[in-house]
Amino acid sequence: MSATIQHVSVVVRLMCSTRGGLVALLVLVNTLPMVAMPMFARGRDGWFAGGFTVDAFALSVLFVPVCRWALGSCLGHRRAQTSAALLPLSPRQRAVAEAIGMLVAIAVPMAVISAPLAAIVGISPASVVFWRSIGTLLCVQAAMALPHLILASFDREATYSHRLWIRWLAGPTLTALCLSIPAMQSFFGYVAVGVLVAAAALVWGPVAWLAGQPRPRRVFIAPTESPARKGASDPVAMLSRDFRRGLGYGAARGVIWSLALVCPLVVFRWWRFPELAAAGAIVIAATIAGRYPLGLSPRVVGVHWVNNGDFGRAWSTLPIPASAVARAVYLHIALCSAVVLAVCIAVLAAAGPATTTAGLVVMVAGLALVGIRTHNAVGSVRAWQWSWVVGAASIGCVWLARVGLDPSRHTTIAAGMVAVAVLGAVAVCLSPAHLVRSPQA
Amino acid sequence: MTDETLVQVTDLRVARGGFALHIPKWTVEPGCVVGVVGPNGSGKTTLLDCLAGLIRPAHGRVRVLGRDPIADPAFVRSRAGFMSDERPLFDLNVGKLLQTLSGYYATWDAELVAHLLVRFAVDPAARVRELSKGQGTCVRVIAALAFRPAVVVLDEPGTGLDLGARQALLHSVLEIARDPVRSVIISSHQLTDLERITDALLVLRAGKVVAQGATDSVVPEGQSLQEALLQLRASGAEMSA
Repeated sequence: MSATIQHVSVVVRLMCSTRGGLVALLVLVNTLPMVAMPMFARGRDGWFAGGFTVDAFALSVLFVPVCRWALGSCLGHRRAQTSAALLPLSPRQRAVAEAIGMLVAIAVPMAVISAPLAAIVGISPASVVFWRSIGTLLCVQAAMALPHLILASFDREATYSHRLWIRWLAGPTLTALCLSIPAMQSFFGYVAVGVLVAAAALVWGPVAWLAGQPRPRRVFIAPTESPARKGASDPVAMLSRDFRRGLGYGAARGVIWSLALVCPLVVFRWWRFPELAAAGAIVIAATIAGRYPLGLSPRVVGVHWVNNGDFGRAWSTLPIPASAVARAVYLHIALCSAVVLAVCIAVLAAAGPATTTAGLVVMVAGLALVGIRTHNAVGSVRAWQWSWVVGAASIGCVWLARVGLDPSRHTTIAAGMVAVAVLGAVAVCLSPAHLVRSPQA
Repeated sequence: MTDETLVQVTDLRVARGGFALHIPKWTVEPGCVVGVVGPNGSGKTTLLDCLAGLIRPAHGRVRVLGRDPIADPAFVRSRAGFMSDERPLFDLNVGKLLQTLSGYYATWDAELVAHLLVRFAVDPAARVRELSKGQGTCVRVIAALAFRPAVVVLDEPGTGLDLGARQALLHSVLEIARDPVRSVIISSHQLTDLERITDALLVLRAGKVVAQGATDSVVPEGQSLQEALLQLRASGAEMSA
């Protein structure tokens, strides 16, 4: 027990003291209330009113990578980077400790931040309404995040890494239960569902029968070469072929995933606006497509330590200029992100000011992801700096738009932000030499 | 030195933080196996990275197959195979990984790949991330040999290899050495293996060349490579004192 408590305190301390942990905390503190807020009753301050919607479904699916990344940021993303997996704790103990640690780390700053914000809107931080709202929000968030946190913890156990697909089921399962069973629309019902799903994940997660069966040993077959790849005399031409193939492969994979995620919504008619379901499907497809530059996962293996730019390093001894690889990665991610951003603008233009904030936030995330992804893949310091500049500028634009401008002009601002991103992409692609990590002098 | 010299290094100087590598002159002729040896931090990997064009020298001249690997990396890398234990691999299955790489080399030999997969006992259906350290090394070696490069540069290829894989590696290296127009440069701490297969040695210590030349001239009669290196180390320590 003392080891579990010790691990909780370590997680809290790491979340609050490491750069990755603080960024993760910032993301979670911002995203969790976005999902939970619509569940409050209008006109009844601080009361939970159910109202679990399609938006919550989409965002609860987004929790999966956010939670996983948050845990990885403070404890290490892979087994090779962390000694957490070697601690004298069982996987279940460790999962519970990490989930509790994360929730504590999220709850405290959220309560601290909420007090001055409540005072601004005229609610006294000492009032019952304030504490009831905060308490309800935290309970709802904890119920929502708990299954994801537990699965995220199991993810980092190399032993269970072959059944990662299970984590994607937690969000939809939780949502489907809440949408289907009327009793779950109450506060206690909702919290009960969250805790039960988390408990199910905790109990069944490390059980062998959930694991994928090991593949049967195949008869040895030498890898055959496709006619397209045979005897490529021009490696750069092959790279551009792989670039196009990567776009097609990523798009196909994205479409399959988006259909899998959106189909339940369509089949059970859980949407209010069919256009939003279509837009969501395109956004999911493009986001997933963006994860496979050149048709490959940017995740590489076999290095003793993991640095940003390992994907680029994996190409380093092939007969292709590093700048060509960097440019291909950047273009791939920029193209996929452009689709996401274009859809967001279209939704924004069609739906009007009501969805302005959510749309702009999604765009900010999209723009920043272009830079972060590229940085991760090819180790481009410029892309990293660019993503922070664009992200910060975009957040500034969002706040300026919200505070000082007429809602009808928000779409114009959004279009301007996309134009900045596209111009940036063009500028970077025209000077690829600056994108790559140059050989050390 | 001949026109056919595969690797030519002249007055190479590389500075990395507090470390400095200086190679006054070093050449690799066709049809030989050259060992690069020295203690940890002596500059072996830095030198081999210079040959691959991954590090820009502060001064001096590096030519691989007559070309500058920094100025003409595509030419050099399509004719020279580089293997390093720390080079990341794409997260695919082994067969798919090799197929992906095959498109980038005009001289890729699928039959040789099939042969090497059997020799190194690597399952082409296995996912790269599921391979052991030694199996990962085998895959890197196979990728470096698969396009029949004129120069093969192997940086610590013996790391994590079991006896069978080490034998397979030595076999492959000797096969290349039998070809009169190809060479192997190999950096390793497996001194017994190196002594068996190398024709020439380059001994480095703290970024300086301690000895170089034919293996027979570096390793005196009646001594092993390990003993010769210890002797060189002791004499170097005396000189510094």
